[in-house]
Amino acid sequence: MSGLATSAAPAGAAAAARSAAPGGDPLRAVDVTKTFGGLVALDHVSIELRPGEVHGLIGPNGSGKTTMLNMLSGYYEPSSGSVTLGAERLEAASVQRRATLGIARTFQKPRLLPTLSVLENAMLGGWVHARAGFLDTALGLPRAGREDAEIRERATELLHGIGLGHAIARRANLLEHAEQRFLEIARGLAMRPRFIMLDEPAGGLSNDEIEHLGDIVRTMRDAGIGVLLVEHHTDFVFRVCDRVTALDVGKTIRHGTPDEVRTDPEVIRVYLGA
Amino acid sequence: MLFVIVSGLATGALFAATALVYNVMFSTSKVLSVTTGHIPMLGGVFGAYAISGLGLPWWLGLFTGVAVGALFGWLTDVVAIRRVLARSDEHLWLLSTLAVATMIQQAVGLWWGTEPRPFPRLIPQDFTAGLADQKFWLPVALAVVMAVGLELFYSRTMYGKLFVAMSEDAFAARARGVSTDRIRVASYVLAGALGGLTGFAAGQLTFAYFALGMTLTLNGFIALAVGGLGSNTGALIGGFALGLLNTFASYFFGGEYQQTIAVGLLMVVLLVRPEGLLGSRNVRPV
Amino acid sequence: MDTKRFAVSVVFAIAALTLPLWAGDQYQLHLATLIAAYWVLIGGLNLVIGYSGQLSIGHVGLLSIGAYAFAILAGKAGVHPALAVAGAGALCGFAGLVLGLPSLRLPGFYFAMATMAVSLIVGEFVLAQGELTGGGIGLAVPGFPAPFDTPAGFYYLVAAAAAVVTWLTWNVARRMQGRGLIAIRDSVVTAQAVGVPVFRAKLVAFLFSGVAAGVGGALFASLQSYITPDTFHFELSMFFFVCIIIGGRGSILGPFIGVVVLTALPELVSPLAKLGNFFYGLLLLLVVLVVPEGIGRLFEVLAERLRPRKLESVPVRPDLPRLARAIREGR
Repeated sequence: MSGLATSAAPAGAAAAARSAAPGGDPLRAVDVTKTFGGLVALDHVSIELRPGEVHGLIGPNGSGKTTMLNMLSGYYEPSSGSVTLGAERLEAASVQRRATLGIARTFQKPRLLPTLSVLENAMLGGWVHARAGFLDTALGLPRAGREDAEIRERATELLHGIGLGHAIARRANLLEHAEQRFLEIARGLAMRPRFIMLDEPAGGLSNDEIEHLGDIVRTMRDAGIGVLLVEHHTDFVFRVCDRVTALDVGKTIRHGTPDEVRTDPEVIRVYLGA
Repeated sequence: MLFVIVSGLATGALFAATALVYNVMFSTSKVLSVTTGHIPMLGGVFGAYAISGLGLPWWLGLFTGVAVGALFGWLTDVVAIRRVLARSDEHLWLLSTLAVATMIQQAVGLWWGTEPRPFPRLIPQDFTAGLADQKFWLPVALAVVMAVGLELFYSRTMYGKLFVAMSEDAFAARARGVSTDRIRVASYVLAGALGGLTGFAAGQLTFAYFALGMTLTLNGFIALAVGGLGSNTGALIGGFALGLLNTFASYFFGGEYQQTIAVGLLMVVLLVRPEGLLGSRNVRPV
Repeated sequence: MDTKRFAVSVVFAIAALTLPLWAGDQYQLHLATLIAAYWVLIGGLNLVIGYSGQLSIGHVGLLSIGAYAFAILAGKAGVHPALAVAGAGALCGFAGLVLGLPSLRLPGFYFAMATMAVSLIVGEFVLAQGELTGGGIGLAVPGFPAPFDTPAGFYYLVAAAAAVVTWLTWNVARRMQGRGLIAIRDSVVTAQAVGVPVFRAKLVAFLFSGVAAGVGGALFASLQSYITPDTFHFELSMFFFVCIIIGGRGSILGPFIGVVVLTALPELVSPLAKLGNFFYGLLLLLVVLVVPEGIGRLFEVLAERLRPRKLESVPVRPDLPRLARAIREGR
């Protein structure tokens, strides 16, 4: 089933306002196949991530959803098919190149710098747009200091906004699990991304924290960011996403609105029980 | 000319054996220990001490060399590896093994002296034996026997198969109930014993010299990297290639640029085939 | 920078500025100058080892290149010492580039061995090219013209170079460049994800450390006034390395205190001098096992043990309007 099939038109004024907002090009994987030796992880899968939209990617273990995320973010090259952002072909683009194009991600196991503070970890996201190089910085030229202050201020605001204001000066290795996850999102947002891809962000979170995560995802979407949500927690996915793609053993089994996917018999059979 | 080949094979055998020791330790811990070259050094020094210093018969000297090597292997694990592997910082084992290597080298230097001291004759033989001198063929024989022995160990014995299982997937091995900690310690003791034996066999070639450790750590590593991390056949090839290259270069160009040539070989191989001649692509030492 | 570190730095700065006045004798002044010369190299090396996490154990080779370059340029070729220092720095920077290009792509152990091998190669080269370098006999090294031709004058020159290196590296350390290097050290995946060009960043840091080693080597050589291949033994590489690790990675002040203490200690406690490298190895091992982040953290770790501060668990509570505003402001 082609992932690019027209989805059901989003209903409601809010949705209409969103689709009218200046979005920019979508991030697309078109007919992508990825094999590892003899194993076919992805089999002709297409997915489209639009700015200002939350796209959920679900599937059982081994369905290829993590492979897809890793491929979109630049850690794998597809064996066939293409990855595009507007006119640009991304299959061979490095992780760093994708970062400059505004593609951010979080990791299944949070990756933070343990010896630095929460604020400094969040500030890392500002790297991609900083212009001051090694020499500028070493010589103490004003640009380096100015950029640093701007990044610091923005990261502070993001951290307060995401709910980590109480921990800004704390060393990152002293954070609790949920705090680590939110810090990774703040760092991603510091990159001023067009797209942010969350790798099982609800893992290990309490119900309250998942609520907050949902609010944050919606806030990101309303601000025009395209969010890819790879998740096991299907209730959460259906609550928060505008569109959902369900994978099984590397193939797309259903793509559409949360309601469509949730009630699809194949999805129910493979994934939701029974 | 034949002399060049024979002496090249002999020093090459020493490098190859050191590379084999690296492999044994790496297989279970995924660590390349800086102390690897110091084990043969200890085998040679303590072997010489036992025979020349204490007047013990050659087989007790051999036992001493092997025992000290095994002890040092065990010590490396206890002090430098065990606590460090538990932490997530990947660089730490490099620092800890470097620290232990430095300490053992200095300690031996302070006790044994900094001059290379002669290693006793093991088998009664004239010093005019030329090419047939045991200082050449003892290391070569040992390297080959070691490589064959290890292959048999890995394929025929229970313990050996556990080593292999652990090196391929330590997580799965642990999930199956294998005590990976004990296997690792055993591998370090085995590596130590083999290293001690190597040093003992090559003692007449290298003399009992405290500074041998760092040289062997480096050259044994070059042999390992050239031949391919994880491959015992590669270790032999890499070692012999390095040894022959050294002696041939000395013969033709003088002995001044030995290290340069060795590193040159390493760099060329790594640039063309980063995993070494016989290495597998997914064996990545961190 | 927190007040504690600021205070300590100010104390050091004042002590350094006034040192010739209160130093006991010529020998202590010489020692201080030596520390400053070491720091020129170690300050640069700190970015490589302490920040980007590349464990180079062969920097004595670069020190040697800088020293011999200076001795040859200023001595044999009669170039003005100031130009000779610049030449030594440039040559060493180039050497750093040549060494770094193939080896910085290698995994940690390979890289360490490559740097050690290169330091041995430099040693071989120095011995072999006797015509140029004086071979085993060594070279006399000229001093600097007035006002740097007195011990106090030369001390101020080297101290000034040390101050410059400190300032340059401190700038890098506290800005985004420094954070990028730390990311390379602690989580390469994170560094890539935020756009850090990992290889290029490592190479730039390594090149900088090369230039610093060249300048440090030149000043070191001039201080020693005579250099031989034996001056540049492998133990010196260990010493540089250990100063940084013990002082603490990710810090400028830590390794500086490390150099001061580790240079002065064998002088003050003579049994330690005899132990030499054994002592450095032991210190390194203790630090790695007990306080891997360096002695600087030792005090904090102890303080935590004695006075455990229970961190109250504060629930994460987003401020959505603030978040929305922050996101929009960045677009």
